[in-house]
Order: sequence, then C-alpha cells, then structure tokens
Amino acid sequence: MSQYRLWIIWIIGSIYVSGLLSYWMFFSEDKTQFLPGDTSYAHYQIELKCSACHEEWGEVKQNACMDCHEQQMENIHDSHPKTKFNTPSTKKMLKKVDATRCVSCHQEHKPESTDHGNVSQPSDFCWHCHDNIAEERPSHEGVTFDSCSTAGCHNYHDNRALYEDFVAKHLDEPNLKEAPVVEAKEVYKKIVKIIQAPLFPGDVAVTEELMREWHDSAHAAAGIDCLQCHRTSEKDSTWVKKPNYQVCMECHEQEGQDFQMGHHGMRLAHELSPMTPGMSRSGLEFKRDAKHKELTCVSCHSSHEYDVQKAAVEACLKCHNDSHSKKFSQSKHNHLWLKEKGGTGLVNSGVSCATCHMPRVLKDVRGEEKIVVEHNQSANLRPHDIMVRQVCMDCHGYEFSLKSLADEALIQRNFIGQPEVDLETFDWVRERNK
Amino acid sequence: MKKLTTFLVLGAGCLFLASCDNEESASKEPTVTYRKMTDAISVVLRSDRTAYTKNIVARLKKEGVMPSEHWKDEKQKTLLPAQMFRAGQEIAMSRDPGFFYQLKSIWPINPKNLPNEFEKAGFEKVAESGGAENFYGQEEIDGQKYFVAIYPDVAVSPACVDCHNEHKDSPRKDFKMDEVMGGIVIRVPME
Repeated sequence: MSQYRLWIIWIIGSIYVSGLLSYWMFFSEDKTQFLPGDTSYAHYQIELKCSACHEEWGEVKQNACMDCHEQQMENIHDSHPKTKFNTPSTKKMLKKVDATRCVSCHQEHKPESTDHGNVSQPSDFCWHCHDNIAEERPSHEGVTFDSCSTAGCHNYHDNRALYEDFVAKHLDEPNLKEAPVVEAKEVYKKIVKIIQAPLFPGDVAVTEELMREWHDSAHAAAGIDCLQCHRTSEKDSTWVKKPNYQVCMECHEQEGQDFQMGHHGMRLAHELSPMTPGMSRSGLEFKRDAKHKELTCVSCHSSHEYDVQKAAVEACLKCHNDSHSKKFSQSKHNHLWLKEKGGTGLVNSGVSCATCHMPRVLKDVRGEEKIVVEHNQSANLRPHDIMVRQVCMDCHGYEFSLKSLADEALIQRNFIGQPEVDLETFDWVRERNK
Repeated sequence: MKKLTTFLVLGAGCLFLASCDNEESASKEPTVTYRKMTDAISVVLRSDRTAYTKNIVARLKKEGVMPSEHWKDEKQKTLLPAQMFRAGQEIAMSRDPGFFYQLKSIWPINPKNLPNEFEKAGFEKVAESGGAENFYGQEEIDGQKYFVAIYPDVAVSPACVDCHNEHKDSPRKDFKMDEVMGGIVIRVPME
C-alpha cells in the first residue's frame, strides 16, 4: 500500500473518530465513554450529566458541590465550615488536608479510594489537626484515630446528635418514652370548596374506579378537578393524558424540590429520565418485577388515589426487598402502624417506613414555618445519628436509639430485639459530668 | 526620519510627565500606619460586641431569650457575645478585607483558640500590663510577613467571668471582673 493511501486512511479515520467523540460530547445523552471511573453511591444517578458538576471542557465547577449542598450544610450546623479555616494560622493545617475544598475529602470517579460516607481520605484523617486530643481530653488516651467517626462518637459535618452537652442532657432516658407519638403534620391550605362533578372533555374515557379514587381524595375535597392537572397550561386547556411531576410541583413545590434532592428524584433535577430500581448501585435488593418502575410523584402516591397511608408503607415495599424491608411486617413498629390505621392506636403513634425515612420536619414553606413531610428520603440516612435525633427520640430514649442504630444486625432485623452494641461515649460523658 | 525621532522623543516625554504626575498625586493620599489601622479596627470590633451585649442581649434576656453556646440548636436562645464576634469575623473574612482577626486567649475554652508561640509572648505582655497596653510586632508565616497587634479583652460583665469560670472545658476558673481574659489578634499582611 502506498504511503499516499495510508495518509488518506489516517485522515479519514481521524475525522471519523473526532466526529464520533464530538457527537458523544456535545449531542448524545450517553457520555459513558468519558467517565474516568464510577462515581460514588451519592452521585451515580447523575454521573452521565457531566454538566451537573463540570464546566464544558471538564474542569470542576467552582461551586459544583455547594450548588446542591449549601442549604444542607446550613441546616446541619456544619462543624467544620470553610469559614473555620480563614486565618493565616490555619494555613499549616490546610497544607495537610485542604478543608476549604469539598473535593479534598470527597473525590469522585475514584471508587478504589472512596470509603464509606464517600470519604476519600484515610479513616484516621482527624489526626492531622487533632493529634494532641489526648492532652485536651485524657479520656481519649489510646483511642485510635480511625475510630473517631466509626465508633458513634463524632462526624466531620453533622454533630447535632453527638455533641457533649446534647448527650449529657439526654443521659438515662427510658428506652421507651411515655405516650410515644411523632409530630403531627400540618396541611397547607384549608379546604376551599367541595365539588361533586369533575370537569373533563367528553372524549376522555374515565372509569368509575378512577372517579371514585378522585372523589375520595384530598384533591376533590380541595376543589382540584381533572383539568387542574390534565390541562396543558393555565391558558391552554388541551387535555394531557399523563401529567408529569412538574404539574404536581405547581402546588407541592416544597415536596417536589425535596424529592429531587434525594436518591429517588435527583435524576429529575438534572433533566434525566426518572430513577428506576434497576439503575440502583446502592447494594440494596429490589423486587424482580420492580426493576423498571420509574420513580416520580405518582410512583408512591398513585395517579388519583393519593392515599398517604399506602404511600407510607405499601409503596416502598412494591420495590424494596432487602432484609430490613422484608422484616418490617413482623416488627413492633408495624404492629403500632396497623393499630393506628385500624383506629385502635393513638394518632401519630404508628411507625411506617415513611415515619423514619420521610419524617415530619419543620420547614419554611412559602415564608411560613410548617411541619411537613420530608420528601428527600436520603436526608437522614447517613450518618445514622441524624435519624436518631430527628425521629427515634420522639418515642425512644437517646442512648437506646443511638445504640440501636449502631447495631447493623438489629437494623437488618428491623429492630426486632434489643441493641447489643455498647457505646463508650455515654460512660465518658457520665464521668465528665459527675 | 527626523520627524519620527522628534515625535517619539516628545511622546516619551509626555509619558514620563504623566507618570510623574500620577506618582505625585498618589503620594498626596494620606498614609495610614499599620498600627493606626489595627487600632481603628480594634475599636470597631470591640464597640460592636459591646453594643450587642448591652443593647441586644440585655433586651433579649428581658424577653426570655438567653445567650447560649448552643444557640443554633436550642429554642429561645441567642449567640454568646464571643460567638457574635466570631460570626462577624466569618462574614468579614469571606469578603477578603485585607487583614485577619481572631479572639484568642492563653486560657481558651476551645483549645483551638490558643495563641501560637509568637502571639503567646504578646499575650503575656498584655496580661502583665493588666490590660493597659497593647502589643505590636511582626511575624512571618509561610514566607508572608504580617504586622500583628494584640488588644486586651477585659472582663467587662459578670456574665463573661461566670461563664468561663463555670465552663467544664475552661482551663482557668478564677477570673475576676476587669481582668484580662484574652485578646483580639489583628494581623495585616505587610507589603
């Protein structure tokens, strides 16, 4: 083959490869080819939306992390905010670990060096700045630095359930409090009107069952008829057969925003297709027939029924099939849940999946503080003590709660039994507060 | 060619005169010494905290809102004056004001607020004078020279004394009113 021909092949080949790469880079949704490595469990859902974190040419956006996590850091009273390291005397510390940059500890696309909690620093990283802790706290003499955050004592960011005065305040509480109930949620608006006959175009087929579901729902009670959701827009009444989650967000904005912050909904926030159990890399088991179920508002609330009790347990168990989920039906929590549902238990005394994973929390909703359901089901999962303070302590003593969530086997059994983990924290706090 | 040379010489002359004028006008700007600058900053910092303590905390106490270390976490609580100072510092530092400041002490509740070796000598001098004198010096950190000023932080209210004397992490529990409890360290990078 002549040299001339080789050159032609080389040029055509180069143009073809460049074209293909350019297409993937700028036009295709599938950017798998450019992934330098798997992302962590926190971000794998959006790993193909490069622009969520990167500038067009690859560099990490200036505010990539805080664009999503700033409010969270504010809410959890971050123990190590960037502002803590703002003087020349902290420069020495920053040379060891630059704590002013999220990516110093949370690297992405490096699964081989990312540990539990998405931390890409060695587990004894606290040592860099707290190497003399035993001088300040003699009780810490001999304690290894890899146990700071693994023994249920400290977290780097969120210590709301672990700081000493909080522990001291809640020492020796009974395992189960008197009259254990969770917070009651508040409704947004009073019912505006009762409508008997919904409006829909004559050529739309509506079954009797659909009508009954709608009629018994809070939507009917609030005067929300078919067209309110099924219209194209406020000005265009053209019928939309399957309204998307954005229609729900016209009224349920807070819930929608929270949902998009969690693992169930974060793909929607980045204009990707809805999450499905089949996409999960969480390590959790899912039901075989649920692998392709898409997660939007109607996945849990159904299209017309909006039964929040079904959404609180049955909806979860349609997909989740891990040991913790499977044991729920035999748990004391479920027993209380069934009693409340059956009308024999106290109001808000039942414990559903949502009670713990989508708790009732105080939020600023349109300028008004209200107790609403947290629709980001990932918000209190890690570290466990967020849930302890947010939910468990409504009904249980602090020590019992913290020990229970430190007992992985007990979690797998859905809290059937007693915690068998001992946490030294309590002894140390007792000693110092004698 | 002659014309071009004349043009270039005249142009260079004009530029020289213009630069002289700029230097002259710049030199007319009043200069502030590092010491005067840090003195002024310290007055503002201490005044703001005193205003917070006397006007806001005192008023809130009457309304049943008490200052607390855990003010973010507890209902009906507000910042301790020292935390107010720190909160202002965090906002100021995020705006890169060209200087740094911190509240430190030889006997801090949080050991991270201990002075470094250089500052410690300054703190001792301030304490020896009973808070009558400030300390001024120069320190180099990582190749950058800083003008360092330390201003005494004196116990002005029983709340300061009681809180430090009763706190389980306080390394000193015999503070008295009007005694030096710590100091404000202001650090200005030197040109």
